[in-house]
Amino acid sequence: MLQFESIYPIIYVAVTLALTYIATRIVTLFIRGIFRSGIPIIAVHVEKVVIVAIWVIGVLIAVQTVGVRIDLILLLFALVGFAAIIAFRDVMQNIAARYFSELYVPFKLGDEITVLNYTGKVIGVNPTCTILLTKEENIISIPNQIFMKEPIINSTQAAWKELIIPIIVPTTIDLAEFEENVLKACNKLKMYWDENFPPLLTTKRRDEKEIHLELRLMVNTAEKKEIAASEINRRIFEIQQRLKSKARQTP
Amino acid sequence: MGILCVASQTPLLQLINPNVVGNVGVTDFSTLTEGVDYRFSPGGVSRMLYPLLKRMIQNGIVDGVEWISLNPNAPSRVSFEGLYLNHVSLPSEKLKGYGAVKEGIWRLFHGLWKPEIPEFWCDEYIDYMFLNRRFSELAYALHRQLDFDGFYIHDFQLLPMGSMLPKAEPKIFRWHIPFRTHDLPRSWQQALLKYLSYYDVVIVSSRTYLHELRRLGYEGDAFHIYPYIDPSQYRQPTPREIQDLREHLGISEGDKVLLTVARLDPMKAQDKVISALKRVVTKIPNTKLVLVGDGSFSSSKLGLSKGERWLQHLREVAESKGVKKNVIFAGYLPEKDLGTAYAMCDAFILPSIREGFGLVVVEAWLYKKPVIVSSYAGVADLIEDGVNGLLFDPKNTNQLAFKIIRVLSDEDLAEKLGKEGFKTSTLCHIDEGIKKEAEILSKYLGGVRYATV
Repeated sequence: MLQFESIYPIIYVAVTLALTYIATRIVTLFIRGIFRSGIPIIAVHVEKVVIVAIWVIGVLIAVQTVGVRIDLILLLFALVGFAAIIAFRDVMQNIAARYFSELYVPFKLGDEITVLNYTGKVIGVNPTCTILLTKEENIISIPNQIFMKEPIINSTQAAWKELIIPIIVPTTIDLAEFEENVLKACNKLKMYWDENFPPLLTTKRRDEKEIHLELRLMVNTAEKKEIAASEINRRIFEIQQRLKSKARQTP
Repeated sequence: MGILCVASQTPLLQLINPNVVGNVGVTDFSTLTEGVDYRFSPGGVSRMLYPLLKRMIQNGIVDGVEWISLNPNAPSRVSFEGLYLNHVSLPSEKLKGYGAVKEGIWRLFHGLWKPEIPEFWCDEYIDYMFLNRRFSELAYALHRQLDFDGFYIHDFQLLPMGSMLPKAEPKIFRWHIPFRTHDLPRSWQQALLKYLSYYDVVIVSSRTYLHELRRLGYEGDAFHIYPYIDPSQYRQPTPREIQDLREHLGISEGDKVLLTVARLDPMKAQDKVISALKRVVTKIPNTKLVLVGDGSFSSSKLGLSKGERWLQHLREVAESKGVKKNVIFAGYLPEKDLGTAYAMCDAFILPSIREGFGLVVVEAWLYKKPVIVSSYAGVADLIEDGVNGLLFDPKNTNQLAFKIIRVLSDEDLAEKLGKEGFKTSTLCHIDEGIKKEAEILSKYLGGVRYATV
C-alpha cells in the first residue's frame, strides 16, 4: 500500500496544474471583458502572453514540490534574459516594433511612404526591418524600431481613408458565418464608410489552429476614423466570442 | 505537374435521376447514362472546360483535377471520367440573395445596369460573398489533403475567391462574360481592380477585352485566349438523322432553316431574329427559324424563372409579327441532336445584345455553315465581314433581315462564308486552346509537359 508521503507530491502537482488551468480560464474571461471595446487582436496577444506566464508560474510551483529549486531556475532565466537583452538589444527593439505594428498598421505592402527622408514603396516587412523600393529601384532597409520613434508620411493615394483591421479566428469557427456576421456589422455602420469601396475580408495566412484575416474598409471622413475603428472592433470582438461559444457547444 | 483546383459556378453535370446516388463513398457518374441519370449543363464555361481538363489529364499536363461548383441537388463529391467534381450547396434564401447579385453583376457588364447598379451594402451582397467563402473553404480543405499546384477560378460569380484563397499558391482568373468597362460606375471599377489584384494572372476572351482591361487600369499579368471546342466531339450526322430531326421539328423538304442556339435570356435577343424573320418570309416564305436552348442553370436550378418569362415573351413576339408558324422552339437538345441541328441549317445566327464570346458560332463553323453575328459579341473579333461571316448591329433588325436574305439567296456566298469560317474555327480548336493554357499554366504553376498536337 502506497504511503501517503509518497503520493502526496503527485497529488500536489496534479492539483497545482489543475488550479493553474482554472486560473488561465478565469484570467482569460477577465481579459476578454477588459478588451471588449478594444482591438480584438490585442486581446488575443495579451491572452497568449498571460496564459504562458500563468503556466510558467504554475509549473514552477508544481516542480518545487518534487525538490527542484526554483530560485536557481529563476536566477538562470534572469541571467539569460539579461544577457539576451544586452546582446540583442537592437534586434529585440526591431522585433517588438514589428509586433506592435501588427496591432496598429500605419502602412501596408505596396504603400508609398517617407521616413527619415527616405521615400519608397513598401515591398517587404520582416521581424527586423521594413524594406522600401525607391523610384531608382534601390532597396532601403529601415529598422522597425524607427517606425516607433519617427514620423512616417504615407503618400499613397487615399491612405488616410483606409482602415485595416487584423483579425485572428480559431479554425473551429465557421469562417463563412464569421464573415457574414462581420459584413453585416459593417453594413450597420454604413454611415462611416465610403460607399464606393465594399468591405473586404481577406485571408492573410492560416495554419491548423488559427486563421489570420484582414478586414479592409474605407472611411468617408478622417475625423470619424477612430470612432469607426473602435465601433467595428467592438462588434468584431462580440462576433468572435459568440461564434467561439457556438463552436464549443457544437459536437 | 500535380493537381489543379478549378472552380466555376455552373457544374459540369446536373442530376436527373436522384435514385442513382449511392449512400456511401463517391458516386461515379461515368457508369450512369446521359440523358437518363444526368445531363451536361448547357452554357459555354463548362462546355469549354470539360474537354480542356480531360485533354490535359490525358496528355499528362496535369495529374488530376478537382472541380468545385454550385450544385444544390447533387451529391457533394462525384467522379466522372478522371475528374473529381465537388459540389457546394447553399440554403435557398442565400441562393436567392446570391442569384440577385450575380444577375446584377451580369447586367452591369452587359451594359444593362441603368438605373440600378448592384449594391455592396445589402444582405444579398453578403450572400454573394458567403457563396464565395464556401467555395474557398472547400478549396482550402481539399488543398490541405491534395496539395494543389494552383487555383483556376472561372468567371465573375467567383471573382472574390482570389482574396480568400491561400496567398502563396498561384491563382489564375478567367473572365468569360464581356469585359466592357467604359461606362462602369466608379465604385465597380475600384472593386473590380481590387478583386483582380488578388490574382496572379487574368485571362479574358478576346483582344478587345484585353484592351479594356488595360484601359481600366489593371497592371498585372493578363492574356487573352479565345474560348475553344473539341472538334472531335462534333460528328457529322447521317442524312437519315438529319431527316429524322427535320421531321421531328416539323420542317419540310425545301424549307430554308435558320438556327440560333442560346439559352433563353433577354441578352441573347432571340426576339430580334423573330422580328427580322417577318421581313425575311416576305422574300423567302418557306424559311423556318429553329431556336435551340432553354433556361440557364441558375434559372432552372436556383429558382429564377427568367427563362420561362423570356420564352413566353418570344412566343408573343412571334404571334404579333405573324410568324408563329415559322418559329420552332426546340428547347434543350442533347449533344447528338445539337450537331444534327447545325448540319441541318442553312445559316446560323447569333443575335446577342452582349455576348462574352459566342462559342456556338465556332460550332456552326465546324459544319461549314455561314454565320450572321452580332457585332457586340466577343467572337466578332474573329469575323471579317463578307469573308468568314456577316456582322450586323443587333439594334437594327432590318439590317439583320437583309443579311439573312442575302445568305439564303446566294449559295456561292453561303458556301464561301462557310468554308472560310471553317478555316477560322481552327483558332478556337482545343489543341490551340490547350497550347495557350499550358503556356500560361507553366509560367505560373511550375513545370508542365506540353501536349503534342
